[in-house]
Formats: sequence, C-alpha cells, structure tokens
Amino acid sequence: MVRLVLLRLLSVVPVLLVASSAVFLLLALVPGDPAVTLAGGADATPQAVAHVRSQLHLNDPLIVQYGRWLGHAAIGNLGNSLETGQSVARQISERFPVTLGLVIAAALVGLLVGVPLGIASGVRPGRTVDAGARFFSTLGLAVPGFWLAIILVSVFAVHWRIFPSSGYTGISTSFVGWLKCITLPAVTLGLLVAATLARQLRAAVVDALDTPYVRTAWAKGGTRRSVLFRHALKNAAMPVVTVFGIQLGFLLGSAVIVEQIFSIPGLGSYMLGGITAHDLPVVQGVAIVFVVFQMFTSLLVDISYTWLNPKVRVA
Amino acid sequence: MNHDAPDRPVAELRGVSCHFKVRIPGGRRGTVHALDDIDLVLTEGRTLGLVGESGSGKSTLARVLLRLLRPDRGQVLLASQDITETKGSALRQLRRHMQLVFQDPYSSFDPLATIESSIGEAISVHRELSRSGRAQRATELLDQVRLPSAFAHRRPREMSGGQLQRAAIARALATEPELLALDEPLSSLDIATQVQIVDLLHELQERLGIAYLFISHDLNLVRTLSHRTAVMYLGRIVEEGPVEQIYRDPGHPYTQALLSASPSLDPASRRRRIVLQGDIPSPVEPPTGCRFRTRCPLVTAICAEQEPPPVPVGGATVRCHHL
Amino acid sequence: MAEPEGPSGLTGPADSVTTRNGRGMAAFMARHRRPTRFLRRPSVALPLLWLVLVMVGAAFAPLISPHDPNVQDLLHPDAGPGTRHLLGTDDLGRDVASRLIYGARLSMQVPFETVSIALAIALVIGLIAGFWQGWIDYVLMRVTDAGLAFPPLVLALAVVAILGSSANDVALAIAAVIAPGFARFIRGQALAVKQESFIEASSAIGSAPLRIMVTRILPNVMTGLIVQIAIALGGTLLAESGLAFLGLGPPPPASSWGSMLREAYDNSLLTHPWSLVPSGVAIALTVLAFNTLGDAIRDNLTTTNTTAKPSVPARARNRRGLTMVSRPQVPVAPAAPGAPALLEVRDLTIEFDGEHGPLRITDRVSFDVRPGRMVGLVGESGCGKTVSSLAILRLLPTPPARIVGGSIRFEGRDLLDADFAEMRHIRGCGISMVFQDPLASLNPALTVGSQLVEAVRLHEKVSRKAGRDRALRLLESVHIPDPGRRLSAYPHQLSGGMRQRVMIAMALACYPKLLIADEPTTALDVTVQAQIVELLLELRETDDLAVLFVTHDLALISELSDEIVVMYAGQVVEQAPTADLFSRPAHPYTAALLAAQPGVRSPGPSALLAGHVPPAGHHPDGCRFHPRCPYREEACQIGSMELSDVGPSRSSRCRRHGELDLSGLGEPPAVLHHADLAGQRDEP
Repeated sequence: MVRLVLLRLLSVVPVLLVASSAVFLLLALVPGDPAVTLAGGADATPQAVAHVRSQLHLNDPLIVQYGRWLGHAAIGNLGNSLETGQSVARQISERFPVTLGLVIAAALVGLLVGVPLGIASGVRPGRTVDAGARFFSTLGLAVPGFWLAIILVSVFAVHWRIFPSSGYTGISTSFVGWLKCITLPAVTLGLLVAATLARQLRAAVVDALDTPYVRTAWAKGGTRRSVLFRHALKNAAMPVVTVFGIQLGFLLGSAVIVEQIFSIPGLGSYMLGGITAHDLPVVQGVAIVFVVFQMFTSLLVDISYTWLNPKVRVA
Repeated sequence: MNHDAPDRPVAELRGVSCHFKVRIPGGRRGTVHALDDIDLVLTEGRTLGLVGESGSGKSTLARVLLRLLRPDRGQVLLASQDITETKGSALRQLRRHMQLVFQDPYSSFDPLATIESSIGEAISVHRELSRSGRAQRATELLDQVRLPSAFAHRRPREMSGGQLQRAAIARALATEPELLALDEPLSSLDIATQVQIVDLLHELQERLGIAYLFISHDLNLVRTLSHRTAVMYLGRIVEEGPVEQIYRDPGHPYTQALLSASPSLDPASRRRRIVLQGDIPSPVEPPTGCRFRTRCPLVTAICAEQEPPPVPVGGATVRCHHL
Repeated sequence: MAEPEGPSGLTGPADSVTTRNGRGMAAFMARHRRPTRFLRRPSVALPLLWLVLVMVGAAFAPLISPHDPNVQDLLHPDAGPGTRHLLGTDDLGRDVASRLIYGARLSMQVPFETVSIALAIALVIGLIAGFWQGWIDYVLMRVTDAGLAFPPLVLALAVVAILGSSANDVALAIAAVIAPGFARFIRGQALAVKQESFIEASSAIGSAPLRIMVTRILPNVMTGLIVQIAIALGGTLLAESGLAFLGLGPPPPASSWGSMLREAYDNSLLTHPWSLVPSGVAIALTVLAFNTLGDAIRDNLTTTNTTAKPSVPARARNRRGLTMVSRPQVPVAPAAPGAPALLEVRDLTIEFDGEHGPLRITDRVSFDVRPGRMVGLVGESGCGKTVSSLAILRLLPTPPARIVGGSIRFEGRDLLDADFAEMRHIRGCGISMVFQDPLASLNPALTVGSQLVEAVRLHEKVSRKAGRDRALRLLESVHIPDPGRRLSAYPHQLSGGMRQRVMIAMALACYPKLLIADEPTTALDVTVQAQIVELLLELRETDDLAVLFVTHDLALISELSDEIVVMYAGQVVEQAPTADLFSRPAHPYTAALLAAQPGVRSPGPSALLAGHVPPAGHHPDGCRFHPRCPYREEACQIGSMELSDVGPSRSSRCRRHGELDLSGLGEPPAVLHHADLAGQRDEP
C-alpha cells in the first residue's frame, strides 16, 4: 500500500515537468515581441518595454529562462506582477484559501445532492424518482454554469434577498458571513457536479445490481439492505470515485467564472485580472498552482480508489 | 487422404522454447515458461490433437508454429524450410501456407465488416483478383463450408456461433493452406453444432489433405478427430503418440489422471477416477525437474532433481522417471 | 452432411434474425438492431431535428432572419417578445431573434472546428501509442497526462489570454484542452481492439501492419469515438460560451450566444431579465441535443434489447430480489402419489419481456427432486434450463422476467406464494445455489471470510467470532488447505477450483436440504472439475443433500445423477432414471443428443442433429423438435405435444414413443474412431 502510494507520487514528477514547461511556454505563444505586447502593445513606452524585458529576462535563451523560472517556482517564488509589482506567490497564498473553501463547499454540495439521487435512481430505474433524477442530471449537464449562477442570483439575491449577490467575507472574520456569501456560488458549482455524479452513480448502481455476485447475495438470503449497501454500492463506488476526481478539476476551472460573477477574491478572479492586463507572471503563477492542486486531488482519488478496490491494492 | 506420401511433414518444431517477461503481483519481474523444449511434427492429411488444461501453453505453441510469435530457442520448420528467423514481408508471403481458426468466432471477425470482406482480405493478400472475382471466390469458399452464398453479405452479429465458425474455416481455406491450427474451435459451441463442424473438418481434410493441429481441453473430442495426440502440462509435452495407444494405455501419470477425470458416457470405458490434488502451478517460475511432480501420485526424490528425458514406449514418447 | 444450422435450415424468415450465440438467457436478450428504427426513436430524432434546424438557420442566416442583427433601434431598447420582434430587442434595440440566428454561426463553428482539430491531433497520438506501444507510448502518454493535469477551463483561458479571442484562437485553445482526453480514449480503444482475435486473424492471413491499422483498427475505434465526439461538441459549446461570458468572446461586432449572454448580463440583468433567456435556452438546448444524441448512440452500441416493451404494470415493477408472479389461477395442490418430493415443480411457465411483447421462455415445466437424490437438468444452451433453475429461488429479475403459471412446492409450501421475508429464509436455509462462474459470482470487493460469515449471520443470530469459526469449518469441509489464511483472501487471489469450493462452502453455510448447481464445473479444467465432482458426491453422502445439477454435459451427468430431466426449447421432453435414459432413450431429441456426444456414434438417422434450438418466440407448432426430428410425421407438426408416462417413473413428450425403437448406448460399438465413420454418414 505504502509502496504503491510512493510509486504513484514518483509518477507525478515527469507529468509535472511537462505541465510546467507547458505553462512556461505560454510565453512563446505571445504574438510579436513578447516584451512589447506584455508592456501594453505598440503604444507602450520604451521604459515599460525595457522593464518587462529585464524583469522576465527575455534576452536569455528560452531554456535558461525556463530553468530559472522552474528553479524559482520550486522554492515558491513565482515572480512579481508586471502590473502592480507585487509578489505573485504572496497574492496566491492570500487568495488560495478562498478558492479552496469554495471548491470544498461545492464538492460537498455535489456529494450531498448527487449521491443520494444517484442511488435512489439506480435502485428503482423507471420509477418517478428515477425520472426526476434523470431530468435533473440531463439538465445539469446542458445548462452553462454561469447562466445557472445568474438565475440563482436573480432569484435568491435580487428578488428574495436571502443571500448577497456578490462580495466576500473571510471564514476567519465571520463564519456565518462566509457561509452566506459562499452558498450561492457553491450551490451553482455543486449542482453541476451533482448532475454528473448522479448520472454516473445511477449507471454504476444499475450495473452492479445486475451482476452475478449480487445474484449470489440474493441467493444466500440477503436482505434488501445488505444486498444494496454491502454488495452493490461498494463496487458501484469505484467508477464513481474516478469521475469525482475529474469533477474536482472541472470545479477548479468553473470556479474562475463563478468567482467573477460573485466578485469573490479567489485565484480565478486573480487570474482573470492577469489575463485582461496581459500580466504573464500572474497567469503563469495561477496556472501552475492550479496544475499542482489538480494533480494533488487526482492523487488523493487514486489512493482512495486503491482503498476501495482490493485488486489494485494487492497488485 | 493422400496415401502416396502419408508421412510427408508439413511443419515441425525442434527444441522450441518460448519465455515471456512479465510483471507479477508485488511489482517483481518474472519469466513465464510458456513453452520448453518442444518437439512436434505435423504431417500431411493428418491431425495432431493437442490436449492440456488452461495455462499449459497450447495456444502459444500454435502461435509459434505459425510464427505469429518468435521462439527464444529451437527451430520452426515449414515444409523442411527453416522459418525461425524469417520476418517482415518474407514472412507474410509464407503465411498463406498456414492458417489459424480461433476459439471465439465472434471475436475473430471484424464486427463492422461483412463476411465477404473478411474473406476477401484473405484472398486479396495472395491473389490478384478483381472485385467480382473475389466475391465469386468467397462464394465458392462459403459453399465449401456449406454456408449459402447469402451469408457473404452478413455481418458477424447477424450469424450464430456455428455459422460464424464455418465462415472462419472458409477464411482460413482462402489461402489454400497446407496447415491449419484450430485453437479450441468448438468449445464455445453447442454439442449439435460441434458434431457438424467436426464432420466438416474431417471432410475437408480428406478432400484437401490439410494437416490439422487440433487444440482442445476436451479429451473426447480430441479422440474422435486426431490421429496422433500430444499432452501438454505447464509448457512441456509430457506424452505424444498414436491416439489409440494414448487413450488405451496412457504412459504418463498426468495423462492417466486426465483420462480418468474426463467423464464418459460409456460405463464400460470408465476408469477409477484419479483425483489430482491442488491446482496447476503458475508457469512463472515453474517447479524444477519434472513439472508435474507437485501433483504427481508417483513422485520421488529424483523428480525434483532431474528433468525426465523422453522415453519411447511403443509408438509414443513419454517423459516420466517412473515408467 | 446436414444443412447448416440456423436460418436456412429452419423455420423460415421468422428466424432470420439470429443472435450472438450468448448462453441461455443472454441469447435472446441480444438483438440485431436496424438503423432506421434507431433514427425513429424520439431520443434520436428530436435532438437531430434541433441540430439540423440550428445549422440550416446558421447557414442561411441572411435569408431567414427577420432583421439585420446589427441595426440598432434606440427607440425600442429592451423590448419583450412581440409581433414586431419575435424574441424582443436588446439594450441597443437590436432584434434578438436575428442575433440568435447569426450567433448560431459562431456557436456552431467553434465546436466543430475545435473537435476537428482535437481529433486530428488525438488520432495521430492515440493510434501511434496504441499500435506501437513501448517507449513512444510512454512518452506520448506522459504528455497527455500533463494536458489532463490542467483544470479544463484554465488551460483554455491561459491560451486565449495570450493568443487572442477570435473564433480560430478559441477553437485552438479548447482543442488543446480536449485533445489529451481524446488521445487517451483512442489509445485505450486501439489497445482493446488489438486484443480481439480478428486482428490476429488479419496478421495470420499476412496483411501488412499499416493495412490492419487503417482497415481494421481505425473503423472499430471510430464507432466508440462517435459518442465522445457528440459529447465533446456540447462541451465545447459550453466552454466557448463560458469564455465569451468572461469577456474572451469574439471581438464585436461578431457575436456568439455566449457573448450575447455577456451583453445581456452587463447591460440588462436588473432592468430586463428576459434578455438572458433566449441565448441561454439556445445554448442549453443545443448542448442537450448533443448529449442526448451521444447517449443514444452509446446505448445503441453497448446495451441490448433497449426497446423491449415492458408488459409488467409500472407499479409492480422492480421488486428487486424477487421474481414477480402473476398467475391467472393458483393451481390446486396435486394429491401426492407415494412419498412426497422435497421439491415439486409443476407447470412452471416463465415469460420475458421481448421487443414485440412477452416471450414464453419455459412452458409448463414439471419435475421432482426427492430428498437426498441428485437430479440432472440437461439440454443445449437456450433450452430454458438455467431460467428454470433460477426461478425456483425466484432469482430472475423483474423486469424482464415474470412467472405466469404453475407452482414450485418446497416441502409442501408453494414458493410462488411466498413474500420476500419468507423467500429470504428459504434461500440459504432450505435451498442454496452454486453458479457457473465463481469469479463473477463472488463479490470482488469483499474477503472470502466476510462473505462466508455473512451467509451464516443472515440466518442465525451468532456472534462475529462464532460466525468466523463456522466459516473456518466450512472451508475445511470443502477441503481448502490452510483455511485460516484463506479467510482474509479476496476472490481474485484464489484459483478457479478454490473459488468454486468457496461458493459451495457458502451455499452449505446453513445446512440446506437442496443444492441447485448451475453448470458448476463448466468454467473449470478437467482435473479441477474432477475435484469438485468428488466433493459434491462426498457432501451428498455426508449431509444427505439433494442436488439439482444443471448442465449441458451429458457425460458428466451420467456419472453423477439418479434421474435426468431433458429440456428442449423451453419444455421438458423426457424424464427418466439415469440408467434407463442412457440405455433406452424415449425421445428422439435425447437419442440425438446421445449420438452427438464425441466418441459415441451409433449408426442410424438420429446420428446427426441438424439445425439449432429455435429461440423463444419462434417455436414451431406441434412438437417443438419436429423440424430437426428424423422420425417426424404430418401429425407431429400440428397442435401441441403433451408429456405422457412411458413407463415406471418415466415420461416423454413424443407421440411416437410407443413405436420408435431408439438406440441408446446399449449397443456396441459405443466408441468409434471418426475415420471409420466416413462411409456411414448419410447425406440428407
């Protein structure tokens, strides 16, 4: 088990190298002279261009630049914003908990809604519960997240005024305040995750209930509860865990949009600001943090999968 | 059968071994001894039955014989020509002489292609024929296996297992091979269909003089179809000889156990069931000396130390220390 | 030689749909599907219609749209839907309907462009990695791993941020996001297709590797890929509108549905909420259409029998774990002649939902199992033997199965009257079952020990400790070496023979009186089969266990059972003590089965069994065996044939049983070499 986890950790290294070089090479995609473009285009003052050039060491060969950038990133130095001159790493460390809180809250909503729905619908395919759940998940997969967010805002914030339509209170400042401002964004993201989870879990439960080992469980006199929970669900959970891992990545990406709509000062809005201002270090910094976070979650998912699936555990 | 040259060898294995490197549970690497020191001759118009339990290396043997796999040691001969090292397009040129029929007829046909197109592929690789010429040849081949020509335009899932297995035989015949390896061709079929295919195979052999390598785990089937029989255990041939001698008077303790364990309808031919203990050991790092020693009722000290040499017994060859 | 089995040899066009030769129940579940029927399904037709509508609209936008999408009418901003402006106007007074139609151009272009780019990249990577494997596979897969390590939208955002947000740039950015997933999928498919024998068949024929890749692997990979493509198209539309919403949409005046939403959000969210509806609905509907289409294709590729019309009333459906019984009238208990049987199956009739209404799988099946006896239930695949055996413990799932007639009496109690609680008690305590495939039949996620202990504790209130002790003794009783260690093993860690021993131990956990064994040795090697057979014989002696042994292997059952029941096409055709059945079969089918056994050939017209078992729904009139019967007469082809007594404790379903003298195994030569038979075969 421990050996397996270590091996899995080791396998992250080459992937991280390739991904980080991709992030770095965003620079190479910049059209024209990067220094000019990043400094604000053709009207940029020569001083601004020179500043960008020196700060990003654009005169060095690309490989040297990458080596320096990677070395700095490894010790937590992601450079300074071209726009404000602030340390990118510090900004990220301030904003990261905000996004993390949102993602965790959304994941919880997704699990709390998606799992019961998926089970109920998988156990009784064809019934009303199932029809409702399928309608919900089909819709959830088709509706753009930001549109859902807007609808939720106009209903719960504008019309009924239950939740604030935007703004953010830190969890350490006031838990209730945090809860209030995180609810709508978390529900928005969570419902989309729930739609996928419910759908996958339904299919997995239907499949599991149709297996020979479930027939064996009935044949030995199993109660409905033991057959469903002990025999079917544990096996049905395996594919769903993988899907959930993928969904966490999806959450991270969608958080960018939702943070924008609800004006939440997280990583997403930081990145978006960086994008509009052509602030390359900010974009690169947030991207690499997102990548590391995503790889970390998929690592966790793999480990829990190992725990669920004895075949992987022993092999 | 061609009585003028009854023993003309079509293909031959000489001292063939085949090992694979695998990763075994726990992350270590091991070597699968799929085949070890195999000698075998296939003769024109004759059937060699190959029996053994799962994991004994029967399928690997067929694939080495057809040079779909390369042996690690030994020689593969096709009509006295050494083809062990042949590869690339030279090897593809030789493929027409030896064909293969698989266990699962559904998996052995492209589900998207019609039967005609699958058979046509086999025709076109070796013959320059127009489209209509190929279609006509395909119909002839289907006729040989007694399928109506309408089946040419069907897809695999529109056919039954037996029909598809006939089509598989037709495809194999398309290249006019001298050797046909049949890898458990009947084990996914119902008994009535089995009989029909057995009849067909027998008839084709009489007419075309093809040599068969007939692989099966069903001893009764091997008995009806083959002229000689080879018994495999864990990558080795433990006994080989004329079919009647092997079934009447098996020499190797494994053959004896296998025959006694195989159920028979005929109460007179039933033997006292010798029940072997345990399972076949893993072909990864198999037992030293005689591979059967871990389950053999006759085992003694020598069995672990020395590999038994081949001993001629009548027309057969047996590898056992205790004859 | 007979006619080939199947359509041409049998009952005409009704049989022309032959099935993938699945075993038993599976045989009729798998159906050939026709494309026209697929297109006519609402879940396919509606989304297709919508997509065609959108695309035609986009292509002919100038002809169709009522207004110029960019003409501003500042006197009528933010108008609601009306006759002049079908969907109202936006904040600049532009006609929303026209903007929607023009917006469809970009909103459709980007997904198709994106998916084409991604597919082009992914096909190259995926096929190369899947076909050649080795180090190139390793390198390519690490690159795709890196691609997958980016949260989806983040990568697209970063690329668009740098490149710009024209339609082509956006397509490129999103393609970079979805290509790695595609590549992985294609590689996986290619690897799976490579495993199929038909690839090896092509190599054996002598086809060149490149030809195999293009003509065999690529088309088979594409079928699965179509589903992925449909879903990716929807996903791309969502991503594009997401980007546009973030302000990274097409530069004005060009617009897509996403940028329309952005404008509405910026300018009229509070004043004119209607403006958010048209473009939002258009996006949702189109994504829905792509997804639904993808699902429908997937269902068509993977599942079987999706169009079966359930004939079971909705209320009664899905009573999980108990086959539904709907008998028109409950039969009266028959007066027991002599000693009562342990199990009395009478007139058991089972129906399955089929494409064209219910199919009768078994028809009035009757047999007895007396205490301590072993009864063999034999027949070819598709004859209904497994269905009958599962019906006894009511293990057939409803839908599709229903028991529509007959009775199953166990110790005098009709199991078809029992509710779930009663049935649960009988399962395991009264009757136990062992299945064909022990690996699939044991739960892969639970240890052997926990599954054994559960079997005990479901029926007896004993402590975990006591349950474990019992489990240990059970493993000992089925001769598993080192049972203490095996308790903590998972099924996949055991050998096939060992797994079947575990299954048997589990079945015996609560001392049942009857064991139903459904092909328990079919998946095992001969020497292991012998071990299991010895074990069953031993348990029968020591535990005085009655056994119903379901098998297709006549030779095996001839060595084991006291009585034999032969089934054909859903009916019992003959029933007799084992020795009598083998020496003097009373039904031509039995005789033909015996003659078909390898190594046993008795000359005579019954020596060949042409054709195959007709599937349910295609049973001929009269005697169901008559199309294959060498002794058939006119009268055999009409009416229906009844089971009648033909001797002490024997019955047969043949109207000529009195006149026929069928050969069994009594006459020599019992074993012939095939070559000797060459001259004896009759060509019909």
